[in-house]
Amino acid sequence: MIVLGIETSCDETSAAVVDGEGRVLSNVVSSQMRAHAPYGGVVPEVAARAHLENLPAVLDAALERAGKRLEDAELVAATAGPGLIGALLVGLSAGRGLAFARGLPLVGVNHLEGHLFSAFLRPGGEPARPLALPFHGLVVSGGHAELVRVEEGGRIVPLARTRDDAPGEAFDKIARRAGLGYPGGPVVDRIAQRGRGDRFPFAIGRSGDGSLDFSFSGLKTAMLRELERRGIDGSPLDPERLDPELVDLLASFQRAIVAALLDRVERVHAAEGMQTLAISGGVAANTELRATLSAWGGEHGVAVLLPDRSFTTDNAAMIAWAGLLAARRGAPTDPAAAAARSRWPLGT
Amino acid sequence: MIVLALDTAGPRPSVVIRLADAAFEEALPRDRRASEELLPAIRRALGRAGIGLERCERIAVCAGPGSFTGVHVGLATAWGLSRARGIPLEAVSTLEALAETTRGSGTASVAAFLDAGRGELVAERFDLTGPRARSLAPASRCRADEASAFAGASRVAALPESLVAPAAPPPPTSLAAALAAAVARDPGRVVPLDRPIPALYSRPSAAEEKRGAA
Amino acid sequence: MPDVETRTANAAETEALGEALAAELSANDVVYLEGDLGAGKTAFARGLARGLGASEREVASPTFALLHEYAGPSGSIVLRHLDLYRLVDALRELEVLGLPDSMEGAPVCVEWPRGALRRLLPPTVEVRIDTKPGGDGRRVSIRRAGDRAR
Repeated sequence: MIVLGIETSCDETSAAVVDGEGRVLSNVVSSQMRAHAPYGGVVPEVAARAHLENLPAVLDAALERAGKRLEDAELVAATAGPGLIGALLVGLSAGRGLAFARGLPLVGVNHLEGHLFSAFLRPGGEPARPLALPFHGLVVSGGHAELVRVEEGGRIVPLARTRDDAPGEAFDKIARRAGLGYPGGPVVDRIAQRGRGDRFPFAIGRSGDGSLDFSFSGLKTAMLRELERRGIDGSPLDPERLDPELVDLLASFQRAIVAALLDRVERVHAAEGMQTLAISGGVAANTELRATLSAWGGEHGVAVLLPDRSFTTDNAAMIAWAGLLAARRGAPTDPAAAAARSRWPLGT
Repeated sequence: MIVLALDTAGPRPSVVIRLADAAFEEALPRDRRASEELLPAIRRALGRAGIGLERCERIAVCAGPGSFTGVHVGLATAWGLSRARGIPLEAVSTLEALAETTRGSGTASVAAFLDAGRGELVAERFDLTGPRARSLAPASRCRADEASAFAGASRVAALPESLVAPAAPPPPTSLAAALAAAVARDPGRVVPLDRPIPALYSRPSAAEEKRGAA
Repeated sequence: MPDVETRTANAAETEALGEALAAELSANDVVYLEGDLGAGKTAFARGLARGLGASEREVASPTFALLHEYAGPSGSIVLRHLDLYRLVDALRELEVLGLPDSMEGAPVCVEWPRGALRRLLPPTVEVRIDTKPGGDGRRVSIRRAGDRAR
């Protein structure tokens, strides 16, 4: 089985070829092509027009690197949401055209499911790890924070999601207000490593209605207030030459985000027992998050899985894989059935 | 020549399959649902024409200007169809398709107008004496009250008709139908399927402006 | 709809103001939500969503996707939620959103409306949320646009 994956939900244009055992035969992402493209065929812009410009080259490269032709594809998997509708529609429309013309099934894939199952993909053309159902998944990114259980048969049960800001977004906004540039996650991660995360305790956000849902906006607001009190207003600062108190403040902010995520994980484990926890999404690259959850898993007998770095940012390989899994679970495969949607919580 | 023409850019979107002796048209909803309805409409048109997609010898799509979402959905879908079957693809200006709707009325030159938003029109003049409408100058923007001056002696084609005053005559066919007829009559330049899909916008993108300035 | 100038003590009260405003809105309304980071714009939007029949659990900051659409019980869109925080080159990048056509059929609320948006999608209601230094309280003003001279 050869699956063609297409992903255009936000800023990246990506195409990939994955086989029935989850071997990633190719995974092409526009920002990486941009770095190497001598003829500027790939455009960096938040715009659906960039996807229109990038998609042909990205798709051709994905097929070529996989050693396949379009005729070899048996399933098309294209991101249908969540994301920016105008951007989603480019990849989804192209996928629909390709599938319809070749009489192929097309699955509209939930981008967050792509992240969810990405922890099971292996680089280097190796087959995917067996799924180990039931497992729990924590997807944490710029726009999302969701904790789910995936049951035997593949049904996804939502357990917690964010009520307001996503952690990645909180990092970005705080970093920008602190004059540290964009994106905020990596720079705060680096700074936090030399700071004391226990120096300024921040309250962990609760949703206030007894649910497990996350709430990061209170933390963001509290942090903004701390920055304001110290006269920090967005004027550019050098991350290597910060006031030690600000370093500790940023470390404490990161600690609080990690603590909030860990808190929900612990409560779910106490309530239903976890065997495997897969952590994914852009924020899963955070050093403290990885270390804290891995250590916790070790202490509690929970296997903590992290995706290979090549699958952590938006990419089509995870979409192809999630699409194949969804098709096997009985998802609709008529190319006309998939509809683009800006919001698509896991398990809905 | 059997042609599949798609217009999702203009204000009255539709899909047309044109055979030697008949044309089959399916209208599309105006809003974003056009993206969901496009494939079913193509299926219905093919069904009514009694052919499969692989019998189409050319695919033509309105590439803009027009609704941004519509332009993107039409171009991306058409590209996918073409790429999958190796069917040559023409990406044609929506204004050119509009000019083509006046063919057969004996007109030599046409000024075509579409809504550009923000109180402006996007306009282009075409020579209709050849088998395909030929642009006389790059498309430009103007205000509604400048349309007559822009048109000069050319016949006016506008969609919607009330965009200009006095209102233009209603186009006798849809943009997709006019496009299909034009391409069948005289196939034009084809889009290479391994290069950026060429959309036509009435304003350049930020990246294009930077490249232009460089 | 009379102008409102009031104070709220916490996010729940800000939400309640949003829910109250929802009752006054029609499909053509464009609500600008202005205020600094952390002021409570998304909380207000959550109230709007609840008032318009969408599940407020669906509402989250659209900073990343730029646009969120929230559906009511019948599945049709009842509120659009735009966030232009990420847009650097606002005017051209707004085009990807297909404005204003793509906003038809339901009210839209906008966080971080950049200058260029005023021409493409002018406000019919302007909400301003100001923080008071050091506290949870907010000063909220809600005005029909065009009443600014008052």
